[in-house]
Order: sequence, then C-alpha cells, then structure tokens
Amino acid sequence: MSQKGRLYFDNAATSFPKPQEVYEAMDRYAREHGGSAGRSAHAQAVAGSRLLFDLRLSLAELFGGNEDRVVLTKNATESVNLALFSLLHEGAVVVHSPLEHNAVMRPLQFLAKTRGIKLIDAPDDFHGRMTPKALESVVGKYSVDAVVTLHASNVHGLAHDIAAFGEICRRREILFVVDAAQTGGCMPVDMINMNIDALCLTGHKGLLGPTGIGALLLSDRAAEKIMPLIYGGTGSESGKEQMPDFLPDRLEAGTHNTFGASGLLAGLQYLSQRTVADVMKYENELRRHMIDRLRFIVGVTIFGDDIGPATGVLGFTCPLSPSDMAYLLDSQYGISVRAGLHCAPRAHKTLGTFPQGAVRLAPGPFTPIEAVDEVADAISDILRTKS
Amino acid sequence: MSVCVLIFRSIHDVLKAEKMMNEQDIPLRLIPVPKEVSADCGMGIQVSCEELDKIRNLLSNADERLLGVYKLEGTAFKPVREK
Repeated sequence: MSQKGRLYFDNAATSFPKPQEVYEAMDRYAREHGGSAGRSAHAQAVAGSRLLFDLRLSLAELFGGNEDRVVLTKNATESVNLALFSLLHEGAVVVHSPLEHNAVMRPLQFLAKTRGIKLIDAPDDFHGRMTPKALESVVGKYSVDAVVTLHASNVHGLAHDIAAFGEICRRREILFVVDAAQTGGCMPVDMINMNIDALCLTGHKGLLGPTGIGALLLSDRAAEKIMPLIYGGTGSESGKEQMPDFLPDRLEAGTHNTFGASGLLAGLQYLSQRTVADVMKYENELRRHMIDRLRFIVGVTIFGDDIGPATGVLGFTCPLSPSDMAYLLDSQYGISVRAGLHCAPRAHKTLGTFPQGAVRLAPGPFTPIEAVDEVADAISDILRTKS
Repeated sequence: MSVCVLIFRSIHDVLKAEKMMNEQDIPLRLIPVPKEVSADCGMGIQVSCEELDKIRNLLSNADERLLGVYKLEGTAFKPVREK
C-alpha cells in the first residue's frame, strides 16, 4: 500500500522519508558490489571494505571520534549493551537520568541483578531532566563509577547538558556513556569536547540511514577495556581461535551489514551538505510551531514545553487515551504518530504519565511546516467530536 | 625499482595506511597477499622499496598495525628486517 498523502510524525522511532541519495546508494551497492567486507581481496569484497572504512571516517568526523574506535553495531541498543556489559564491573555504582529509555534501563537492571551494580536515579528538574547541579551533588555524595544517560528524551525531546556532565565525569575520572539515539544527526555531539567515553548511535533515525545499522564510538580508555558481546569470524587473524585484540575487529564478529552501511554513509553525506546545525534549527522551528498550535487546543497538556536545547520531538496528553488519539489520527487523517510508553516507562513515571503514556509528535528534516497545522487541526477536530 | 609488500593486521589497517600514504603521494597498489606470506586479511600494499624509510616514518605512530614488510627477490617474497 502506498504511503502517499500521509503525514509521518514518527521520526523519533525511524526517520522517513530518507534523502533520495540513501535509496540510490543502497540500490547501487546491492546491484554493483555486494561482497563480504574485510574477507577477501577481490574487487567486490574490497568495495565493501572501503565502504565500511569510509563510513567509520564519516562517523568519526561528525562526532569528533577516531575511525579506529568506531565499532559498527545493529543499532543504539546493541551499542549500549556492548558498552555496559563490558565496562561496568561487579558492584559498580552507576548514575542514570530519570528519562532513560529501556535500551539503557533493561541492561542496567539486569546488571544490577546479576553483577550487583548499584543504580542511582538522579533527581530531576520540572521536565524530568537530570541537571548538572543534581549530578554534581550525586557524585559528591557517592563514589560513582559511571554516568549513563540519554542525550535527549525520546518522549518530549528535551536534551541534557551533556557537555556539563562530561566535564563533571572528566574531573572525577568517571566513565561517561551517552545514548545519542535521538540526537545523532539533529543536535551537535562532540566526543572530545563533551568528554564522552562511549557514544551510542543508531543509523535509522537522525542519521537518515536504514534500520539495522548503528555504531559505538569509544574513547581511548574505553577502547582499551571493552570486550565483545559476540564472538566469531572477523577476516583477520583467522589462524587463531580467539578474537583479535585490536579494534574494530575485536568487537565485530560475523559478516557486516554492508547494505545498511551504504545507506547510512549516504545519509551522513547528505547531513554533511545540509549540516546538523541546519537540521536542528529547522526541527526546532517545527517544534515551536507545534507548541504554538497545541497550546490553544482545549484539553491538551504538552510535555517538553520549555526553552532549552531540544530535538523536534514533543509529547502530549489529552482527554482521549493516547492509543485512541493515535488510532484516530492514523485511520481518519492518515497521520502516523506513536502513542503509549515509547519503551521508556522510567521517563513516563518521571513525567507522571505512566502507565497510559502520551502521544508523541516527531516531525523530521523533510516535514513541511504546514504539516504541523494539519496535525494540529486533526487533533482539534478529534477532541471536539470525540471527547 | 625493487618491489616491496606491506602486510597489516586487518583490512581496516590496510585502508588506513593507504589513506595516509595517499596523502603523502607515495605511489602504491593494493594487491592480494602473495602466497609466501601468511596474512589472512588477504590484502597487502605494494610499494617501491626505496620508499620504505618514508613509509615506516609515516606509520610510526601506528606501527603496531604493520605486521611485516616483504621484498620480491627473483620470484619469491623475502622478509625485510627493520634497519
């Protein structure tokens, strides 16, 4: 079924559409190359190896990392797991924000149970964010080993002050793990200036690539300690039955997702032309316009209505249940939004919207501003007639 | 000109070295690893042996990557010891 004429407001889950170049690059790679990267010396395999190398260079350039420490994963969830499972030792004390997604909370809770790590939920501000002041007071009180936090919330779009957190971690030599699933490609992130040890990214949201490809960028000290989650062939040191000890091979067993890599590289090339700053500015205009429209709809409560760094994402509740509102927007107006808990029960508990959740509006870099008016009109119509 | 082959740990390292050498305009060619040389990543970099000092200098910050250097003597490649 064609999606023509629909309005897609679910870019926080997966961006859509992608830049035209992404579709073309994936089609071209699949038809013209298609070899196994890192495995052979024939031309098709070398094309795959070059693709992965160029992808690492592009990611390192955009995020201030080093291409030798860019590990390709399937998404941010895998990147978070890879970092947490090997960098958190038995009994480690870990601070997280009150807005975490289950990509962070589930591995942390598992490690709390199996490895005895201690979790500290930092106190939040009015919008659920962890402030640098709150983090400072927590690290002053406990002997903290790691801070693990998302950059911006997938529920309401507001961002943490990652640079200030990084500075606190640097001063006290605390490991700093950042889940940038929501901000990669739509807010600036710099590993060096922000003192990030492990930056967890996915390719299918703001980086405008396909699903199934992500990355973990590591600092020098994190790279030294990190161990694989999975073991297997790498195309290097094949005579040995142990994993190679050098990166990125140490963490990349099994054949790579080269089709995904070709799309992600094209997404990054699009972003380097348009610039992340421009995407952020545009998405914030959309966000501002959503707030301006929604605040005049009787019964709508907006989450994340604040001046401060944010992505384009906004959450709201209304007299209808979030799932009913999402269903009516979808079935009667052709508008795609996401309702419910957004895999972030912790964030919804913090915001007081648990267990019913909220409706999330997530426009993207290609959403026309008039689409915001259409969505606001639809919400207004639904509330007038149904509630 | 005598022919040398540089062998690396992985294809990532081969491509990284290729990039560094291209930036210094050092002539090179990627080749399948010769049969006398055991290196399973499959690819090596063929260069002129006259460039070896320059290359070693260039790669000195990343020297753990360079597993070995081989020189073509007759029809076989022989290891070259570092001076």
